[in-house]
Parts: sequence; structure tokens; C-alpha cells
Amino acid sequence: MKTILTTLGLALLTHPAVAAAEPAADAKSVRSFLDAHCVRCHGKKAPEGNVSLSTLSLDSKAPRDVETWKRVYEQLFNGQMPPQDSKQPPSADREFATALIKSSMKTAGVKFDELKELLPSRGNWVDHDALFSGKAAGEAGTPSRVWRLSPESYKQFFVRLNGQFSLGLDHILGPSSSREGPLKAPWGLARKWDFTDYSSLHRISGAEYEHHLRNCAVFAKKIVGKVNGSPSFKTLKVALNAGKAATPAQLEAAVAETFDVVLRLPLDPAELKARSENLGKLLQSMDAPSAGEQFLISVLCHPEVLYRIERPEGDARRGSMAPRHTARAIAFTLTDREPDDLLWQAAVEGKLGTSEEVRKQVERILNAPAIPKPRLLGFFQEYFGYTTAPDIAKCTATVNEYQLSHNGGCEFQSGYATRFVSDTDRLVEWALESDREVLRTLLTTRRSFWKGNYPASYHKRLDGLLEQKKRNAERAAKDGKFVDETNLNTELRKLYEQAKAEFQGGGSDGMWRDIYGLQRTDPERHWADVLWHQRDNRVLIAKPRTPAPDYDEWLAGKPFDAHPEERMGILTQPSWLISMSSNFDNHAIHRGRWIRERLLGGRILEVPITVNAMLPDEPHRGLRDRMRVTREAYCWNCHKSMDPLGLPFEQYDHFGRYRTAEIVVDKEKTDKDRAKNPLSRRTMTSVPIDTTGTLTDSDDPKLDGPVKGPFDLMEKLARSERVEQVFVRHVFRYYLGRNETLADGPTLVVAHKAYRDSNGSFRALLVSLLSSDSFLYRTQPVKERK
Amino acid sequence: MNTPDNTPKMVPPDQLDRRTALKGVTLGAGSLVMAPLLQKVAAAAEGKAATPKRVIFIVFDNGFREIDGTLPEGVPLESDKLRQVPLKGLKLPLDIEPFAPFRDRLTILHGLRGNNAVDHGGYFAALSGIPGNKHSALGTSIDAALAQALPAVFPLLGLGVSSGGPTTAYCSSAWAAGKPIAMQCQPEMAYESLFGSVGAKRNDFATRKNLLDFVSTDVKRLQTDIAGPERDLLEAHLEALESLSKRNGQLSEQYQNGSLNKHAPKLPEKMGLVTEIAAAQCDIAAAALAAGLTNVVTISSGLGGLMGKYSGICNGDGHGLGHGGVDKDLPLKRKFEPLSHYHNYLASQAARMLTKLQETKEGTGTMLDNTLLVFMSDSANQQHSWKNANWPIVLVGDLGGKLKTGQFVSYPVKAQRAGGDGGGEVFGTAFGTNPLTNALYATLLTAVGKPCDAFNRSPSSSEAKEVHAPLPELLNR
Repeated sequence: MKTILTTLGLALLTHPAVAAAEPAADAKSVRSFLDAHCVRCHGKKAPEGNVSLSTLSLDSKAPRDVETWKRVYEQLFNGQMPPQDSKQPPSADREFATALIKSSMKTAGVKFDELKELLPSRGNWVDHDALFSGKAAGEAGTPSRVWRLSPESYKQFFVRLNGQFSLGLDHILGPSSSREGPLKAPWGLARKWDFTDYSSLHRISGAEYEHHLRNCAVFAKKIVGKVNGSPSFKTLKVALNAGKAATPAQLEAAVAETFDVVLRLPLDPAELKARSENLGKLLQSMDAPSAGEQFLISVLCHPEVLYRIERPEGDARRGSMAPRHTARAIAFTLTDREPDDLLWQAAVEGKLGTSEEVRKQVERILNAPAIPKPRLLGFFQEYFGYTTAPDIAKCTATVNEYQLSHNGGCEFQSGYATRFVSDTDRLVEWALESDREVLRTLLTTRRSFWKGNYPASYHKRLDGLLEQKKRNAERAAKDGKFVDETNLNTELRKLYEQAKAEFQGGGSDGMWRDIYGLQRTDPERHWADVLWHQRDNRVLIAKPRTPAPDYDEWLAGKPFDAHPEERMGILTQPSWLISMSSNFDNHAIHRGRWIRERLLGGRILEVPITVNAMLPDEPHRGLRDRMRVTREAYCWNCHKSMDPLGLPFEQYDHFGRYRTAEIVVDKEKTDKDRAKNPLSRRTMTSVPIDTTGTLTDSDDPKLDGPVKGPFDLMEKLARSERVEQVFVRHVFRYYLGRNETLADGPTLVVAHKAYRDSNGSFRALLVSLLSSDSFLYRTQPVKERK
Repeated sequence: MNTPDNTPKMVPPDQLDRRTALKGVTLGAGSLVMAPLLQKVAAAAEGKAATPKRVIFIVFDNGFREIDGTLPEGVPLESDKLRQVPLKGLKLPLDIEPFAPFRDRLTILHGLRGNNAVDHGGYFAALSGIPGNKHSALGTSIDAALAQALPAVFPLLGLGVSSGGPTTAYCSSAWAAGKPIAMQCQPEMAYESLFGSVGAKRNDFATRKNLLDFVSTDVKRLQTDIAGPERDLLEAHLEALESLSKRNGQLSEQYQNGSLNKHAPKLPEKMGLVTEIAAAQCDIAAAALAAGLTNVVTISSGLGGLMGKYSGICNGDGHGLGHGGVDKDLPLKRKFEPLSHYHNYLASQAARMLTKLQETKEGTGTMLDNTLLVFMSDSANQQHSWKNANWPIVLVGDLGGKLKTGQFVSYPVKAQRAGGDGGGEVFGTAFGTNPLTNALYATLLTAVGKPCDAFNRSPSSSEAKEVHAPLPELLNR
């Protein structure tokens, strides 16, 4: 059975091919699938749920049968059937059967939400072993698509216009607000569990379009104001000055010129004519400046301002994109902005036609430090999911109960967590700087950053001042005139002092150090302070053990070595631990789910709507104890895939602090106190922690087994080739903006090999992916069978 | 009030395609809201147009506390029985004191409960009554359901109030699962959409319509190039453009005949403080209702989560104030007092809206006669509200006699002291058998002429029918 279906599946899994298969063959294949996996329970006699599938035929279009097929499809598609505790069909067989059922149902007039099937959460549904089998399953290529520009790409377009035409709109493009308000993209990308920016995820709503029109109006008005004095708009100036008397030739010249300088877009004759006629109508109906503004708004509403447009060039069913669209795809993928001059030039000269030519451009961009590449860090932020920490506020009472604010009155506000996010950003950048064994490093490094962003800003400022000194010296050597450097020297002295003060810290900086377990300059005195502040309570926290970072190394932008028992990789960074926590607790389930999905490539089903996912309100018990409810049979089916992977991180509290015991409410004392005074605060105590866990169902025999704690778990995972392959799959998804299909298998194999052959270079991995057929080719689906 | 004669004639949806529909009507949203509007158009064509009903939601963050907040003086919080107490003669607490002039149209509801605990804002869960991921639109929200039943040029006018937040936000309302509705957070932009640019000397709406029609051709051309599922994204884009075009066409006509100008509010010079933004949004909403541009308004203060600061009221941060932080500059310095002052301010702005509607004649009465204000928090009674927390809701108006008013209605409530920063303050907990907020939402739909037995009730729910069904204590059958 498996052989038949998998063989068919490998040949037919792409939608066009499925659509092209013969109906009789479809019906037979699906019948075989049902017989193999469903009829044991849903047979003729006493079928489960009173649903019998023993005679159901795909050929039947009877309404009742169609309804049953719809249910079968939903159950198979969502992985709810066969039940979790039954033998599961191979993923390829399941996918094949669902594709055939869907194709047949569509023929019967059933409507499907096609976009739902493209959601990032479906990524791991493609069979991992089949992907990395090395066998080709169809031709690689991304289906033709539009992809709404990211908020940053959208904004960078207007930044470019502002600079190109000297519009003087810096004040609305920069971070400072003004009466006009800063220019914002009409849409944002909310931080969430899965990747945020797939091409299939985002549509443009009316409210967003109105917002875009407002942005366009501001720029159009400014550009029109510059037309008379700008060498870029020679012919537009002529047309506007001619007003109602503008000739067709003048109008065409103005339109062509405007599209060239604003969008670098040559228009075809029909489009040029239509737009010229529109400009002519505008000049007939209103004054020239207003007509110019409306015309420019229409230019700024061109789909290329809003979307990446990706389809094969010409009428090919599969082929490369037009060079300008390849250039845009490379640029938006790596830099979140339009192509630079060299990339445009390559497009114009036809030098993006081969994989090798694209590879050169990608390498050029990756190796140019001056070109911003926010999407390098962006991938790691979304993949690890450590940037949601600021969304999870911890209230003052919890801070106090966890003995965090011994220096008094300090609140762990939402904004506080951004500091930890910045530190982890820096850790990622540090791993990318060496670009060796990037994933393994990020999973197992013992190093961390503290105030990791400060040194870079310090050196930028210092370099500026030293450059000024150098210029003064050169001037003195040339003219013999010495510049008074009193102010400059004062600035330098201030900078040194500020750096020292930054390093010493104070106020809430203390909590920052404490969460990392960093000792103060005088650790014994600091600990004595902690004891004094907790004099009425038991001290429930561990004594900091990591020596304070060395000042010079810190200022040189180097990470510090955490105590060898306390930190190992991003999953033990406070940013990640807080992101995977709730307002009052660790979130062992999310932590486990992350490992299951992002490192092991496993699938977690949606929480059934019948489940009210709540742990018991028993603050006097530890989390593992309260999670006993997830071990009930109904819940454990899913939770067994997550909880044993997340519980090793009980080594840390929900502020990301290393701990040796878990702080809980002392129920007896709290109850006694509140009987006397209902307003009294809760008294805390501690219970032992258990950091053991289990790796199961990883499909990698070397991995499965018990783990002693987070370090044991991380070391095992970081050694696994499968984990590395799952990482490559996620890199593919982020940069291609879609889930992989079996046709992308060879691309992933080659990309993984590139990563391995380069000793874990992320750049090598990216070069491989961005020069692959999957990235460069676009396909048009064949028309579905009627 | 509707009479049987006014019942709109149903147009079978299968007799209409999207393009045909758009040719005949003006809309501000996608196809989900079209069928009712078409039915209204069909009814109007037969001279059966009903007096429109209107619903305003003002939803705020950080909880709506009972003590000093929603409980009239002398009425206890706790009771193990259903209570219906006339409001006549009872003193209203600080939070809702501005509603005193509308006492006979007022209903204070206690004892409804949410489906889930809420921390730091209920987002989409509050108006949908659907538990689960509060950050995702998991189903239709009640304001959207009402908007579909009460169509207008702007089916749902969503306005946001935040301190330095985004221009638009998806936070509380949705046409359906995965179809959230944007809240406009900048009053200037909301004003421009509704009434045109301030001081405009030409008909901006007509110009805008021409522009939208022209750029639509680009999207149509592009659509022919894209054959995969993502073609649907362009279809949505095209629908947005066509809807905006139709809306601008209708607004253009109203601009020409002067009706927009007649209703356009005067925006204040300064709108930096949260209180100033809230006042401006209320003015805009009142004007839009009075001009007949919309029948459903949602004003989300805090955008489903927590307000950064209540500038104009006090300088404390919103999170701390929700935990009972005090402001030394306020007179009483009691816990949650700054929130009470902010609620009082919002209520006073809402009361101004109601007054404006009361001053606008409609039929034999005023617009207020057919209007309902729903004044509530998105997180029940406190920032961290527990499961089954009492969810106080204040209603003003009777929707043309469809709702019973002038009463304090409380389903059984137990008083409970909060832990943590609640610092032992008392809050209400609804009995587990009490109606959910969904039951109120079913009541509202029924009251506007869309009978509804249960709103967003899970098919697998084993709870008694009464938990979801319209509330007999409110509904005039």
C-alpha cells in the first residue's frame, strides 16, 4: 500500500499533476487509502461515529456522499484521523489522498480555502524523509504570486524618493514625530508564533489602502513642488506648464519619464497610452499642480509599490522571472529594500539569467558590510521567537515575590524585556560574524551579551570624535593653525565617563545583572545586601556565580562567559525564556512545542475548541505538579510531544533567571496572615525543581531517550543532522515566503550540503537557496480538470 | 420601531454576484456585509425602509471595577439570586455618573461572565465571546454582526484611542475568523475618510473616486497574470478599491448637496493627549451617526490591550494603574481611582454623543430613540480578570423599545478578594451557571431584528441553552 501510494504521490503530489490525473485512477487510489487506514473503525458493522466509509466512492457526486467526503478531507487534512494512538499513514500518502479528494470535491463544486493550506503552520506537514531522500518529485519552482511588501520595504521606497528628489521629508521618515506625524507603513507585522511574512498571508484592505493614499498624497505634493527645478522631471515640467494645451507627445514623454525616475519601470505602449490619456484628462479638469499631484499619486499606487510581482516571463508554464523581478526578489529578500544600482544594472544588462549570475550578486550583497541586511537578524528573531518577550508583562507583585527588586520599587515592565532581546540580537550577530557552525553555536554557546548594544554606539561616537581630531591635526599640519580642542576633549572625557557609568550601572541595571546571574563588583557585599533586604523572609534565590564581565572586553563588544552550569545557547537566554512564559509562570508547553516544531520538524495539532486550556489555580504547587492535568489521557496524546521537551527549562524561572528551587506560595502562612488581615501580601517559599525530560518520536534513533536537563537536551539536539535539516527547512520558508513542497527536496538537500561543506556557514546556506530553482523559477498552474 | 410591514424583502444571495452587487450599492467593506445592504436596498425600492437602528460600543482597557465603578450607591455587589432593581433615585458611581441624565434609558448589567481568564486586555475575545487566542480573530465580533444587520456607507466605523500607538490597529472586531477590521486611531484620518479634507475647496471625494477607478485597472491587469491561490489576495485588493470607489462616489454626492458639511464636526486644534483623542473620536462618531454614514461604531480605548498612559487624566503608566497604582495628584488617592476618572471622562464624551443624537429629530422622535450605547471593558472587571469574573456592562438606550431599561440587572455574583497587586480589593465573580457575554450579544442581534439563539456558541458546548440565549431580563418580546 505504502509503496503504491508513495510512488504515485511522489509523481503526482504537485497540484497541477494531481489535477491532470485520471478520475478512475484517483478513485481507486483513494479507495485503497481508506481501506488501509480507515475502514477498520469506519466499516460496515457498527462504524465509529456512525460514519461508514466502506463503500464511499470518489466517483459519487451525491450530496450526502459529498458531505461525507468533506468531513473525511477535513479530518485527514488536519491530522485528526486516524486517531493519534493508531498507526499513521505516511505523510506522503496522506497528502496524496487529501489532494485527490480535494480535486474531486472541487469538481463537484465544493469551495476550499486554498490560502489556509499555505499557512506557515502547515510547513512541517511535508514528509521530512521524502524531502531529504534526494529523489526529485516534480520540478522546483515557486508558484506565480504577488507578495505584499514588508512594512520596512514599503517605507524604504519613500525614504529613497525623499533622498532622490531632495523632498525635505526627513522629519516624517525619521523616528521623531511632528505635527504631520511620522510616515508609517499602512500595515504592520505582528509578532506571533509562526513566520509573519509569507506571500499568502497578507491582503490589502480598504483601511490600509486609504492609509497608503495619504502617504502618497504627501509625497506627490512635495514632488510636484520640485518639478520645476528638478533635472529628473524635464518633460513632466513641460507637460504641466502646458496645462490644457499639452500635446499627446508631451504627455507620453512626461509619463514615461516619471515612471522611469520614480519606479525605474519602462511602460509598454498600451499602458503608456492609457496613463498619458489620464494625465491629459486631469490637466483638462483641474489646475496643473493638482493634476500633477493626482498623476503622481496614481504612479505611487502602481502595484510594484505595494507588491513583489513574481511570475514566469512570457507565457511559459515554468521559467525565470523577468530580470527586474528577479532583481527585486533578491533585494527584498536580503535587504528589505529595492535593488541597489549594481543589481539594477545586472538586470538591465541581462546578467541575472543564470544561477551562477544570481549567486554572484547574492554573494556581493552578503559580503558588503555597508549594505543593510535586516533580514539576516530578522530570520533568527522569528525562528527562535525570542522577540515576543516585551509583550509579556510581569507585574510588580510578582517581581517582589520572586525577590527580584531587592533594591526597591523596581518594576519589571513590558519595556524591560527589550533589553534582553537586544542582548540576544547581539548574540546572533556575533554568531553570524564568525559564520561557522551558526546553528550549533546558537544552541550551545556558553557566552552571552549584557548591554550588548552599547559598545557599538560608543565606538561610533568615539570614531566620530577621533576623526574630528585627525582632521584638526591635518589642518594644523597644512595651515600651521591649531584648533582649540577644549570642547572636543571635554566630549571625549564625557564619553569615557559615560561608558564607565554604563558599565557600573545602577537602579534597574541591578536586576538586569541579577537575571543573568552576574556578580557585582563586590559580590560578597552585594549578597549581604540581598540578605538584608530579605531579612524578614527566607532567601529563595541562588547566589550569583558568574564573574562580572571585564570592562575592556565588554567595551570591545565581546560577550562574557556565563557560569558553566547556568547558560547554554539561545534557549537559555532570558529573552527566549521570557518569550516562552506567561505573566506569572514558565510556559513549559510552549517551550516544548518550539523544540518539537522548530528543531525536530514535528507537528502539533491545534488545541481542540472543546479544550479550556487552563492549569489549576494552585500557586502553592510547582509548575510540573500543576501540569498533571496535561497528563490525563485525552490531553497527553498531544502534550507528550511537548511537555517532556519543555520541562527541562524549569532550570530557569519565568524571568529567565537560573534557579535551584522553584518559588511558590506558602499557603499555610498566607492563609493564616490573610485570616488576620485580608490585605496582607502572600508569603513565598520554595519547592525542589525537576529538570528531567525525554526526547521521543524524533525519527532520529540517536536522539530519543531521557535527558537530565536543558544542557543535556541542547547538546543532543545540536549534534543531530536531522535538527540541522529542519533548520534548513525553516530558512527556506522565511526567505522564500512559503512552505516547501516535495518538489523543493533537491533544493533543500543541496542547501544543507552547502551549509555542511562550509562548516555551518549561514551565508553559504543562503547563497545556495537564493540561487536555486525554487527561488528563481516561477510556475503557472495548469487549468484544473473540469 | 419595526413593524411587520417594514420587514425587508429577502434577496436570495445566489441571485447576486459580487460585481452585480457592487454596481448597485455603496459599501465600506467586503462582500460579507453586502447581502443585508442589498436586502435593505430591495426593501427601500418597495417603500418599506425601516428606521435604522444604531449601536455604539465604547470598549476600554484595564477592567471595569464594580465598587465605585458600576454599582449604584447602596446596592450590594454580592447576591446568590437574580436581581432587577429600578435605578430611579439611586446615585450612580463616579465612573458612570455622566449617564445620570439618561437614567431612564440606562441598564447596568452585572453577573455576565467571560469564557476565559483575561490578562492585559481581551482583544478579539471580548466582542466575539470566543475563548482561545485573544490576539487572533477567531470569529465574527458582535459589532461586525450588527453592522451586517444594519448596513450603511461605512458598515462599521472603527475608531481607536491610544497613547502614541499605531495609525490603524486590528484589535477587537472582525467580520469573520481571519478577517479582522482596522480601527482608525488618528482622528484627522477618520475625519478625512468621512467628511473630506478640512478646508478643501474642491470635491475631494469625486477626485478620489476617479483615481481609485483608474488604479483599479492596474490590479485587474495584474490579476490576469497570477493564477494560484494568491489570486484571491488581489481579489480582496480589488474589492477594497471598488468599495472605496463606491463609497467615495456616495460621499461625493453628499458633499455636493451639502449634507456632509452640515454634519462635519469641528476638530480641536490640539489632539496630543489621550483625552483629546477620545473626545475627537466621539465627536466624529456622533457626526457620522447623525449624517447617516454609519449605524455601528466601535471606539476601542487601549486597542484591546493596555493603554500606555491616560494622558489628560494622570501621568502614571497604564499597566501600573490597572494594578491599583495611585496618583498623588488626584483628590482621593484610592486604588483604581485614576481609572475611575478616565471612565468618567469617556462616559462624559459618550453622553455628549447621546445628547447630539437626542437633539437630532428622526420620525416622530429623535435619533437617540433608536440607538444603544454599550459601555464596557475588554477585560471584565480588572486587568487580570479570572475565569467567570463578573463582566459589568452598561447599556444606554432601548433600540426603539426593544430593550427594557432603567434597571440594575444582576445575575448571581459572589464577592471575592483579589490576590497580588489587587491588594485584597473586592471584585465580583459570576456563578458558573450565569449567562455568558455571548448571551448579551445574542440579545442585541435579536433586538435589531436578527433573531439569534446563541452567538458564537461552540457546536460542542455542553452548557445549558440559557447560558447563551437572549436575556429575557433585557429583551422586550
